[in-house]
Amino acid sequence: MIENRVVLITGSASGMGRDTAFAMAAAGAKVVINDINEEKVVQTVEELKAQGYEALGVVANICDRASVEDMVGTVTSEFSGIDILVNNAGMERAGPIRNLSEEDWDITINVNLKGAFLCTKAVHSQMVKKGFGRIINIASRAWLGGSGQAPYSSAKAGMVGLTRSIALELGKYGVTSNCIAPGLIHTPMWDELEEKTRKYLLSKQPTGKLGETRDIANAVCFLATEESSFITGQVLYVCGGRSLCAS
Amino acid sequence: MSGFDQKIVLIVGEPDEVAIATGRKLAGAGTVITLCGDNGHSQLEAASASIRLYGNDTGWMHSELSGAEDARNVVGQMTEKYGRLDIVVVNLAAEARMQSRNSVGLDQTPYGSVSYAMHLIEAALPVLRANGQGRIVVIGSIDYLGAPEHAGLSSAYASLFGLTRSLALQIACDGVTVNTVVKGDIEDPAMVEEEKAKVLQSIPVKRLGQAEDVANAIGYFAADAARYVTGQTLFVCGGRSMHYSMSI
Ligand SMILES: NC(=O)c1ccc[n+]([C@@H]2O[C@H](COP(=O)([O-])OP(=O)(O)OC[C@H]3O[C@@H](n4cnc5c(N)ncnc54)[C@H](O)[C@@H]3O)[C@@H](O)[C@H]2O)c1
Repeated sequence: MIENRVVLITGSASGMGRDTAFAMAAAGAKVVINDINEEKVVQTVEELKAQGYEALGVVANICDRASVEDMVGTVTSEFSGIDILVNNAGMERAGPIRNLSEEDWDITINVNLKGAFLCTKAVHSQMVKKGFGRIINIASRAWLGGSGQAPYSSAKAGMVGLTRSIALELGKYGVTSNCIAPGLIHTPMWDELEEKTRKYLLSKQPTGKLGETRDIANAVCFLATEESSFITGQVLYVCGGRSLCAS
Repeated sequence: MSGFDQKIVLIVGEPDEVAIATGRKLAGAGTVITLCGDNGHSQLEAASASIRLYGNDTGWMHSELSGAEDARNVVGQMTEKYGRLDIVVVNLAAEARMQSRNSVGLDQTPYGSVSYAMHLIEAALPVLRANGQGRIVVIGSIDYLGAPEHAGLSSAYASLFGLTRSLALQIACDGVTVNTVVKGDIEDPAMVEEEKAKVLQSIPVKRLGQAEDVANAIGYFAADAARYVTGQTLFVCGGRSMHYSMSI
């Protein structure tokens, strides 16, 4: 169970991170909302508290080591320490490689991969000390590769390597590390896509449907409990079977 | 776990610790369990009785676990008794292991178990589809990634792997999911200390698994919560799969 566990979810003022925060709070966890978007952090925390949940907001850029260390310090002093880390913050710069700039590459790698590394580095020692910890990385099915997705796919593939290395390193201390690889999920970004693109993407879905943010939240909740203590270093695809077929 | 209330569950194959732990987990969540195996009546009754302590009435049926007709008969008995079937757990990997325990050669390959798994799923599919939200969970073994002196066994398991993926694609639109939970090294009282120490070397979490570990993962895939997860293989192995290629 995750009752009374402290969970830090990066990039959780929006999308699936936000939904995961509500799901975990409903299951009794104390949730920490982190994001770079201050307004949304405040709003999310207010909504959580209005529902009677215990929540804390921390505005921090996960690509910056000092900010991450400060964030972890704040959470540790406010709550008893961090039991579960969900590396969820992410973004994508897409396009054919000829159009991609060095900056596109750097920012995509920094937010998705370096951010996950910095957060993991900052929280893992307290998990090791406690003999319990869960590190759950939100990668993407796109780590398998995607045309026009060189930086994003590389960053997400990097997260898979990070997940597995941490799993091998910390397994003996009761800390597990797993990846969730979402496929198409219904988020605001989806609604902004052109009708034609949406139709095309849906035609590639074995289920013929999109996933919802709560499908990701459900998977995070499963991997966050003691129930999953013999599962580590794994990639769980939550993608309606999309990882099984050709694009 | 929510959404399990009164769901009808069939657990097919060896009524071993994993099957019992799965039954307990799902019965505790409010489902109605039937065990089906080729074992003696007393063994099936004992396994059912130990599940019954955790929830609703648990039943069992004997089957030869062989052939299409037998599979249709098993599913037929379920629908006759309950009018529906929601969750099928296929534990024929354990059955295969039993069959091949004393064999090293390919001639002993336990394809019988695999073909029964196929017959059973074929028979269950129309019933699951009718609900628009069925669940099939296949229990596999990490041996499919390759294991010396287990060529027969590992090729049989590998075919379950292919089965899950192809079937998942075929029925994804019907709301029926098919996933495999691959079990790693599960604590076995018969294991001697020396053997245990050797096995532990390759397990990152430095402990052997419990049947409950496998049952918990089956519980996740069987739940409404996992409706967007299909065709997947989840290793419940304390991280041992990371040493192998072809495991993600
Ligand atoms: N939406 C999908 O279909 C989909 C599919 C596969 C994977 N993913 C992955 O899932 C995760 C969540 O996706 P989403 O769709 O919910 O995204 P989202 O854009 O709704 O939310 C991501 C949040 O991360 C925050 N963020 C960005 N950079 C940050 C930084 N440097 N520090 C702190 N916070 C930062 C953003 O402000 C935003 O609120 C991402 O890692 C994404 O790559 C999404």
